[in-house]
Amino acid sequence: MTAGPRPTNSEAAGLVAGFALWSLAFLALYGGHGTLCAFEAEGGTDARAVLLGIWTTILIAQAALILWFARRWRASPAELRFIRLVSLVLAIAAMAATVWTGLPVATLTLC
Amino acid sequence: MSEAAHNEALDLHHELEPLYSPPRTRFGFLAATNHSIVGIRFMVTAIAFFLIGGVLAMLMRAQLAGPDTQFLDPGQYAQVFTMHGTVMMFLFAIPMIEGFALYMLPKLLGSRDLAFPRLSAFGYWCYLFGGLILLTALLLGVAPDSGWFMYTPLASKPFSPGINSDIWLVGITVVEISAVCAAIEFMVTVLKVRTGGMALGKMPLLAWYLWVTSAMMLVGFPPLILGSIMLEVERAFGLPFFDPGGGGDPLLWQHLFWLFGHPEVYIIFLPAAGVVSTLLPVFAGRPLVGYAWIVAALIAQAFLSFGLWVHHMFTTGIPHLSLAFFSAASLLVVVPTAVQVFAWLATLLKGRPRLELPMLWLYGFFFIFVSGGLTGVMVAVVPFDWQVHDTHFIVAHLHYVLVGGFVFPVLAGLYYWMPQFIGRRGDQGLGRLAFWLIFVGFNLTFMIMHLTGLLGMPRRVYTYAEGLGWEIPNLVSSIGGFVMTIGFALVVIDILVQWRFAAISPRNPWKAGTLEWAMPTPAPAYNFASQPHVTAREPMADEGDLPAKLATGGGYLPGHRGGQRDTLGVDGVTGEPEQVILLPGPTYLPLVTAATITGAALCFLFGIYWGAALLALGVLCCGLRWLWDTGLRHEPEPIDAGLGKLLLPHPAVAQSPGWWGMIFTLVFDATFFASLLFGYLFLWTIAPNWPPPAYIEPAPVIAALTALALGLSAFAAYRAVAANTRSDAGGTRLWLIVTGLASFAATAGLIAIPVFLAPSPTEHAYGAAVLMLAAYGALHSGLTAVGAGFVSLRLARGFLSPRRSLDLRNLALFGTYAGASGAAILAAVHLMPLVGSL
Repeated sequence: MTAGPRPTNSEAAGLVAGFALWSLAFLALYGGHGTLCAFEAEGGTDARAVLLGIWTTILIAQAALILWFARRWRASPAELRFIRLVSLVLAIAAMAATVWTGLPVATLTLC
Repeated sequence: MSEAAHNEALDLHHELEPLYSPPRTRFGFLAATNHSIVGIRFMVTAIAFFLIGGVLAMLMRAQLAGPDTQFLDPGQYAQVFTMHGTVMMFLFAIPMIEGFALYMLPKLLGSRDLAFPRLSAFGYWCYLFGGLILLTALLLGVAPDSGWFMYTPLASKPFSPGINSDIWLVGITVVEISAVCAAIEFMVTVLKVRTGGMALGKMPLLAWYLWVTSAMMLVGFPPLILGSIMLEVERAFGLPFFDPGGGGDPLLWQHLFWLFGHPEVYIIFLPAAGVVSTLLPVFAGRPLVGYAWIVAALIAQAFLSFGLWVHHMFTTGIPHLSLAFFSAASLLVVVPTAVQVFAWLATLLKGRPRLELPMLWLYGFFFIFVSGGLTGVMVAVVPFDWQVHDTHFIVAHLHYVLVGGFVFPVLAGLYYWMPQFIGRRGDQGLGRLAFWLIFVGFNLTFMIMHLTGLLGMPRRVYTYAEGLGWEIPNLVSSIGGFVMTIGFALVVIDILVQWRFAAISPRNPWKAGTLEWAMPTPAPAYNFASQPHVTAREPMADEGDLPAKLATGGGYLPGHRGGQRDTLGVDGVTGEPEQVILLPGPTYLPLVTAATITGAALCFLFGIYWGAALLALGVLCCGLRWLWDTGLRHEPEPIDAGLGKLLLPHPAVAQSPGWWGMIFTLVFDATFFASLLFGYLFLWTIAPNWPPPAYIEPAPVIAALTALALGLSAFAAYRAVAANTRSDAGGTRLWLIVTGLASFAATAGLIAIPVFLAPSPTEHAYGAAVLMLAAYGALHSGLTAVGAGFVSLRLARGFLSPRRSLDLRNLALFGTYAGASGAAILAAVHLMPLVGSL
């Protein structure tokens, strides 16, 4: 009889990891914008500083993900090479997407 | 093939064909679950709805051909344009994709059927019955008339007092059940139900496209289903979710609708792009350039398409910075689309393209879809969108995208796979004539419509006055529309002629490399007499004698084992064979369940609420009966799967399709819940007329006890799993009883919220939203309680053992989800008023 299932299904999660972080950034910036501007109007927090903080934190997380995926891809066994390569490409693309969609936070009038 | 091999193949065929076919009784066809039969039913029904949608389009073009036309009155016109959009989007495009994927996926993946054949059949009946509700309304003159997007307040009771909007909300929700079933079905099928050796990197690109599309359907449809339920209960019971006077907000509907609606465009486009990626290399005579890049592009596209929904709402007064986010994402989504387009162009440049009929349709796709994409870039720019919003420019843009991006590839695919469907391939003359009529007719209709829009003609007006400069463009559009219609009529005639008179097709007539051509045409009910071991992306090119080898039983699972339908299950990433999936045979249960759901929906529609409740209980009974048939009552022996593999049947394997089915069902469920929480928070923070007159009565003891019961329920379910692993039947039973009682207590605690603690749901949207949240939580806890009782019964009847533990593991998963979502509900309901009243 063959061995039980190998735990390679978790490799598939790598395919969505990069853009999951992009989604998080997108939702946090979009949702945070309205809420923070309401607070700022009441003399509360500095909306731009908080949004830039969120943006930068997620970008750092994405950079770390890219480094991890790159290392993982170089050490891949043959049967996992494809999925790890695609995961790496997607992580890089997702970081570029986060830079692009978050740019208005740094450049436009906020509230 | 030698005579002996030929006879061997014939013997296998005669054994397998009746096993995988529906029973040959008078009503046996109603019990069919075979994916080819259900897939063809889906596609034929979808084409019938396409023709109905086309007739509605012609009615509109006849009306708009000249100024001040009285062919249709405003009410009729509203029904016609609403039904045209509804039919084309919900009853043609999505079901066509479902049908195509149902039919094609197992063939592409080298398997015998899908993961859950009964679910596919159930989906078909829901689609048919939901579609018939809408069609009947159209024939009776009470069709929906508030636009295919059902914007509130137009679709709300005060402005649409008739039954029309209710028909849309109820009918489309029944249809959407089929989409959700299909999404779960395809997610699991692509992950687990492939043939041996088919690692993700060797999977046909079309399967990748359909997999990503399924994932998008799984998280794209819940917001719309939620919105439809909310609007229907607002209309039926006066819960003011979208009424600003009662603390609701019409914009919430737009958010929920377009959270579905924009990804929907890509849900429609991606499978069509998958068809392009499949056909193009065949006719270019070389493998597609950039396989890995295309896989990456389409996953990126799926994510990005969920960040675009507000670009349908640029004129609703949303803050400028928010618009900038969505404008940026709308421009960004062009990049993965362009990656695919350039990969296709590179393949054409490096190959030697043959201008066969399917390729002609692909060239038409390129021209029209790229044009639509370019106008899409224009409307992604906010100031331009403000200028053309709600004009015929948008009508032209969306038709270029949808007809170019879906209908043309579908027609290419139809001609390409015609030998698969009917076993014949005929002359291409009539098809070429049809192509040119449709291509010219389409551009005549919609190219000039951009100008009509720029000249200021708004959408959805039933007529227009003379002297505005709109007469000639509209007349040209109408003429083009009728030319296009003649083209579509020719396609139908061509299909009928080929089906009846064309020559028998040779096997693999286009010299393609994918596995669907490794079987006889038309495809037999069982697909493969034995399943291949795949070592390359194009197995047919890799192994010339593959069809003969498979037909004579030279692959995995040759023939059948004791009259049981089965197929191979693999590791999701590597494609290593892992289990033998036992498939169910024909059954009337999908039909009965779908009919019961439709009955409940109709009772609700006509205000017979006791009937709806009774039938809802009937649906639960059908579901339990359905689940009773799964699993085994004995300890299975490993099965000789061929090619040296000895595998366990799926009920004894940890990562069986049922386990993954539960995971993806919960993904759908969690998206639904996230949409509900979003609605609650949106109303709380954005809607006018807040704060509400009263918040929930503080009840910390009830809240704490409910939370405790939720936690205990999940904990006990896991203890039951652990006890079962130790072969401790008594312990398993005990922990199941604790699970059931704790879930029951949690249900009571959640029901107490709207009954005793919350303000009236009809006075303010706050009370309405609290009711929805509590009802959601109570439903899940209640189902956990029912599940615990059901699994106890299964335990007593011998369905469970340490190895056969799926029921328990799935109950624990569901119970954990019910506990987590219940805790979030308790926090939202009991804690938020404390913050809000600070």
